Amino acid sequence: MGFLSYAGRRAAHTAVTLILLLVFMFVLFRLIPGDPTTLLLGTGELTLEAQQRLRAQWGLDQSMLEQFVAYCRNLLSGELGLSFYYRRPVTEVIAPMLVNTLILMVPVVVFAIGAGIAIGTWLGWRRGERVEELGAVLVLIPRALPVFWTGIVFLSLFAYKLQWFPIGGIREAFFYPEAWYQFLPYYDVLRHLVLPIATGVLASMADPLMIMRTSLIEVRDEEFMVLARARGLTTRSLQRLARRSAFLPVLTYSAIMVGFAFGGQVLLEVVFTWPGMGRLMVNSVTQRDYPVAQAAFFLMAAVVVMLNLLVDLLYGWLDPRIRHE
Amino acid sequence: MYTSRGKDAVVDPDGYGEPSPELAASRRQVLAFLGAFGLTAPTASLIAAIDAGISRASAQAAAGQPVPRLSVYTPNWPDMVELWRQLSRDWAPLGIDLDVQQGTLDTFVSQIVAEQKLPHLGSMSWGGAPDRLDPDYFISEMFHSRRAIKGGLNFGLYKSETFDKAADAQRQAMDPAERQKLVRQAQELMVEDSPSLILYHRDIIHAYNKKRFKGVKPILGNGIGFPYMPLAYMDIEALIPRKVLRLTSIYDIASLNPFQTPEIYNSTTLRLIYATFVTRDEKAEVMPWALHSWNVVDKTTVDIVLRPNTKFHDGKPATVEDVKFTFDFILKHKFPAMGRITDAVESAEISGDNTVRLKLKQPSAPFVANVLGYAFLAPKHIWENTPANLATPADWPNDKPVGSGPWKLVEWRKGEYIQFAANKDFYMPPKLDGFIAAVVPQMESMVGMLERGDSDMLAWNLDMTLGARISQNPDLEVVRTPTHGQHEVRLNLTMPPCNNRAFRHALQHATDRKKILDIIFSGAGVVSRGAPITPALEAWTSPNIKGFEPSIDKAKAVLSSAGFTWNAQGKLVMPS
Amino acid sequence: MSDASSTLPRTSSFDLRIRAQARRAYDFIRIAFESWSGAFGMMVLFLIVVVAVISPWIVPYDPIANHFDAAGQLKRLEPPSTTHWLGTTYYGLDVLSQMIDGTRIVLVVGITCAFFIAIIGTNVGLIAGYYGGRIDAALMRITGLAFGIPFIPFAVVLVALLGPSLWNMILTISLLMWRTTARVIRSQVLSLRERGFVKAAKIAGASDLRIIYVHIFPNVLPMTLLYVAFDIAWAVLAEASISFLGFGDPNQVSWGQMLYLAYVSGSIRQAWWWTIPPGLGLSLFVISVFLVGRQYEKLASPRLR
Repeated sequence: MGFLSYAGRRAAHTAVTLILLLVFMFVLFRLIPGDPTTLLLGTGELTLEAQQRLRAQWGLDQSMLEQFVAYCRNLLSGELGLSFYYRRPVTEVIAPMLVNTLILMVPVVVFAIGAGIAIGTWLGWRRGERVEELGAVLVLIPRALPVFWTGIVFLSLFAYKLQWFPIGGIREAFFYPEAWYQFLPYYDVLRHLVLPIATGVLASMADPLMIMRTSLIEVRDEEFMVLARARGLTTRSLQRLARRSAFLPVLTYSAIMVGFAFGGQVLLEVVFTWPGMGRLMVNSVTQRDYPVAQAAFFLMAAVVVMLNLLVDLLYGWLDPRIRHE
Repeated sequence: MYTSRGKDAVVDPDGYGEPSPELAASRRQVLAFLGAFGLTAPTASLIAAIDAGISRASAQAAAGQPVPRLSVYTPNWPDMVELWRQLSRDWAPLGIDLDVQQGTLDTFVSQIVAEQKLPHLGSMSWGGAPDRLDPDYFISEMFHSRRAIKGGLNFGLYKSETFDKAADAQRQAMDPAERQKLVRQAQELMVEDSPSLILYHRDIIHAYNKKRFKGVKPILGNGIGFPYMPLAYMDIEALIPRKVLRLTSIYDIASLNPFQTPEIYNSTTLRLIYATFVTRDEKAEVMPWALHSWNVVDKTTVDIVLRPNTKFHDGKPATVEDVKFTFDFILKHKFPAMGRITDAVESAEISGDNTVRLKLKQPSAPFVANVLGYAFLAPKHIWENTPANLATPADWPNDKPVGSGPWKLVEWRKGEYIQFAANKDFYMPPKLDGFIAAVVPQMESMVGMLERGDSDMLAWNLDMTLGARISQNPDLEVVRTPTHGQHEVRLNLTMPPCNNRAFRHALQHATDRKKILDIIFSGAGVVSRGAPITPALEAWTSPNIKGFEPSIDKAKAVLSSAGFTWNAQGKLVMPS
Repeated sequence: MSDASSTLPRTSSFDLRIRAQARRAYDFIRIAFESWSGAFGMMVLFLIVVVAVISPWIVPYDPIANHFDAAGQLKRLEPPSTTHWLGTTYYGLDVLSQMIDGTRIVLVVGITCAFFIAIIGTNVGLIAGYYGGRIDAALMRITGLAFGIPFIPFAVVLVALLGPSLWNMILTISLLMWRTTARVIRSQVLSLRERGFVKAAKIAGASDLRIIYVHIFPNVLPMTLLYVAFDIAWAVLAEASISFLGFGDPNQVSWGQMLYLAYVSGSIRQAWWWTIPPGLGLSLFVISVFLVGRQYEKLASPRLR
């Protein structure tokens, strides 16, 4: 089977997954009791008659099927609709939060994988030494700590006690630079990023690390490594060679890790008061803001599914045997 | 003694009361759907538990039979959870068992208010919104039989003709003295019937940095930091070069369009930009704000006089045309968020140089406070030019709001902060240059920011114990203000034994409000005597309401004199 | 074994079997003790299980009872003392009693979730891997779907849908977490399928179900067990996370719930006696599972030895 037909098939599978996801989300959110107008009703700020008018205006009085058809029609014409809660286009609501999330999560994922590969290689290479045994145990510790707890401990230590870093948020609402270095561009945002990134990296570093280590141990004894060693390559070159071959499982995992990072970041966002996608998703569910919730969940899911597709394709391209599986 | 734990907790809290068939069916579909994933055993048990919950809650206690376990539904806030732990213990000596279920606020509201599915009991707390200062809210909105409908706040289904009559009469009484009498009378009737156990009015506790700012103004129901009363921020003065106050709040606004949202925090924040016609002063008296004065001509006619020399933020003068336009605009578009204006106002006509005559649909005592205090002056030259392709002008983002209020919008960053600058042209210019309300959803972070000096004011309900800790810091001052908001336990009056007045009186006696307030809120608040309006509002408080002495013996005596008995296991038995 | 006439030999063979079982169990446990880290993990887990089992007898107080001092004042946020070894919470509850009570939740959540995850994940993996083709494609679409759903927001949706209770949380965790197990088992089955013994069983006319559960399943069992171990840890962390965000079961005294209450009361930094025990407890439990799991991982993939 050629690579192109393989790629085509994978892409079709992905499309089916995405469509399933779309239907699943749509139904799921509408099964939750209440709609976006009920919360206002509860505080008596909206009269019943006004609520009916609002429901009609927002199309909530139609049947679920009608709503779904309307939703799909809008989607096909590239419209995500208006947020019920913000009364603005969904894209306008999501875009700034997505940017905030990327500012936080891209460094977390990159540093976690980078550190994982580096430390994993180092540990794997020292297979059987005492330091490896100790190291393998040590890296498990941060993974075992609940993210929110690590975050709270970091905040207590570095923000409250030592006052090195701000308590939360993405930037100071009212920032007066005082010393020269505070005038540097992005100084303020960077300052706010340190603790959440450190917490996130610590929590998500262990998995790529362990995978890298295992994979490296397996690669180390392969024939080509024995040959390379026989050819008298330096340890550094040997390590590089092994790392390159052992890297693939980490790559696969990284697609999954992005998903975990997006799903688990809610905790980081809550502890560090970070205005991002995770909190937006949680809030849009409690506010019954279906258009935003659907779009946000779908976006997150699509990122993960697409990354998986990308990894699959990369694999298929690198290793033709897989295409026939 | 325990509230329901472990295996009891499987019951779907949403499954109480009359199950709407389509809802029950849709639930079953979800569960069947989940079952398709291979989880047949737990889902089957869930379905069974839901059905059991429904049938149990709708089982009517028969005469001479033991009182069934009382089902309770409450929001899942920690204080509410603790409240029911206390009540389960306090009421146990009466031979009553409770089944407590919790839900998130959104589920609570959609089930209890929108679907009218209160089981035997439910608890709720009501904040000190400005419109609740008028007694009409806690009387008519919450207990008038007219509001015992789906979506109404009389979700305990209290129906009493005498009470309704008193509630209607006070609403239409335009004479203050007469209204005072009627309001007190209505509350006396309500306490006698006890459709709800009003518990306490929890104080609002805010804190600020007194080394940096002075002139904070504690206002009933508003504390020093909430935006509900615009007067709160007017006299704050900076003691440092930075004349911009930074406060923290849990909430963020959702919209900059004042016609769009009826949500209290959002609408009051926007009314800092768009001045309402009247507002309330520190003593909760109504005072003119965008208006110069008003005059009640007769029961259904009110003349309002615009304050002269009023300017909008864009420099254009505000005229009587804008006043008329505001009302016409609202009446024309029937904005859902402006329901109370469309319900009250018939028409608005210019009747003099600076005067607009409002015709009301019916006499309404709360009109000036609640309608003129909610309606705001909108600039005609902006709102008549909103894009025509919108379904309603309420959907217009209004990114650069132009009002006539004391504050101008500088910037709103969703989920981060909203920044205002003082409008020095306002007739009562703010002493600050501006302020920033930062959105900090965690109390822990808010306290930390105040203690570190990152913020100058903590404008969210603190607890007294936390407040005591904060006030140890010499820079910080904790301010405690009473509120008219209240916490209550509502009873479903259609469910035996809650339909029995003696039973409700017994619960009143069995509830030690002071003790509960001490445990949950460190005693910071006013214990209720059973009336929904706080004793802090003396004018509306009837001296005839003495409260219920907390005593289990009294409660038992009330029950036995009404024919209740106890069986061998000590459980309460319905009168035969 | 067919005749029940003589009791003596049967008892002795029964006895022998017990001994054999005991030796296997001993061998199994011994693996954990082959390294100091595994031994440490095993000890901690053992301790937690013991505490959970005997918790009703060793809790000093009812975990949800308020405590008052002699003057009738609530013992609010009291630091550790001889009467309250780990101090009291905001509403004057005994922290030690809550910690002890919380071990039960750890076990219930960990074991129940791991059980469901293993059942769903293993079956999906076995069926997808064995049958291949359309069935595989369909099941892998669903697995892909599960991977695409962000966990905590999904948990919030289910709480809104079903109400906050422990069992709903277990349901939520089980509904999403099987995805990893399913993938791993599937890839194992894919290679096992081509092995001789499977082909032999096919030729011998064994039914598909028999091949899957009698021939293939025992071979993936070590991997399944390993994943069960890790799932226990993940499930406990997941429960704590949901509880920490305030969507947990308010009627349960779980460690995550304790942290949530400490956090919302704004006293997390002052009342260290209330914050550190549950955080430490969670971490210790999870790391112990990892450490023990690591030992068995070596068993499952011998190259790591």
